[in-house]
Amino acid sequence: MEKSSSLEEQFIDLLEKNKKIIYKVSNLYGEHTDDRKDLSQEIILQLWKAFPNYDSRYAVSTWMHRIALNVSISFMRKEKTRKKTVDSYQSDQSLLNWDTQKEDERLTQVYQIINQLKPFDKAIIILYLEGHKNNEISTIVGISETNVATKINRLKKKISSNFKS
Amino acid sequence: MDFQELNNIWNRADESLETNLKINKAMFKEVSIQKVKSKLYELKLSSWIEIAFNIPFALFLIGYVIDQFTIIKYSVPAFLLLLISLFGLTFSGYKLYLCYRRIHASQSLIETQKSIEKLKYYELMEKNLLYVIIPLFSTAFLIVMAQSILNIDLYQYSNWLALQAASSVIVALIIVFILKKFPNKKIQESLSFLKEINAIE
Repeated sequence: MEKSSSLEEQFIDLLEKNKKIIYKVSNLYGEHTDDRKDLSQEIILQLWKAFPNYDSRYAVSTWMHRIALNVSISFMRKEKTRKKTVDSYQSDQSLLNWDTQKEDERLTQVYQIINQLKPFDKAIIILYLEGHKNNEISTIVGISETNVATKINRLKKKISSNFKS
Repeated sequence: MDFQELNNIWNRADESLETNLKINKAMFKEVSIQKVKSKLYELKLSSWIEIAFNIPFALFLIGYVIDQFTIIKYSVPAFLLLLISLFGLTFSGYKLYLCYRRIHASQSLIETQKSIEKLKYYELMEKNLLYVIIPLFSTAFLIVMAQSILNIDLYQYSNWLALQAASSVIVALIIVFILKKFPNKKIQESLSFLKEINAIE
């Protein structure tokens, strides 16, 4: 019991330090506020499930991004009438709370632009913006480094042209 | 605004996010006590049940084929049923392999998503296949079961058996026609997503 509670503390500490990853990913893959809440919850639960097997050879952010993005792509592909993960909790409650009033308007605009990309492209651009190197992105996504570099260049151009139009 | 500006906005947002975001610790403690629901749990369970039913059935059929080897009228339908049963076992085994070995959210996005989508596709295909297999092999099943359990030779009722066989083939053909005419939308979606994943690689 003590062991599991200490594991819980370690996990919450890790979440606290990396909560922005969950917020950004769920904001980019969830269409509406409710979807985002559900998605952030699903990500946290899957992280918690995978936490005992966390391989310390990988950076925490790499591990979190991998899980968060995998969960998000699967979540996106599910039917809209999907069953909620945490049925027994009120819909206004969320494991990750954020005050939308205080959200930067320009950031919302950035999210809207990135949101127009395909699921895997979105993942690549998030990882790039989060400062991951090409070799890290290659490991997380599962494509070659050359492919990552090509895709990033194309995506940058695409995003810039979307801005102009 | 160009990409560099977007990058700057993204990075600047970190500070405000740090302040505004809160982890609902109390709720997490409550939720984490509950067993984390796995989307794959149902699939794993159904595959294990299929295996649990198929192994004794396949063993029974192997014994039956050996016993009735010289009596073609029984050994052939039993052999057909054995093939279906072995196919079911292989399929369930492969699904479990995908579930346990290939699907981990901590693996690369391409690998995980491909395995999930393959699993979904195979599930749907298996369902479609069963719609055809069940009526098609119902006659073989009836012949073997009637002989082995009740010791009744259904070939005595040849008219009824012929009617049953003919109608089951017709039913299977109608099902194949319907499945081709109205292909499952989910299968199409699965295939196109798999194509999308392959294009990224």
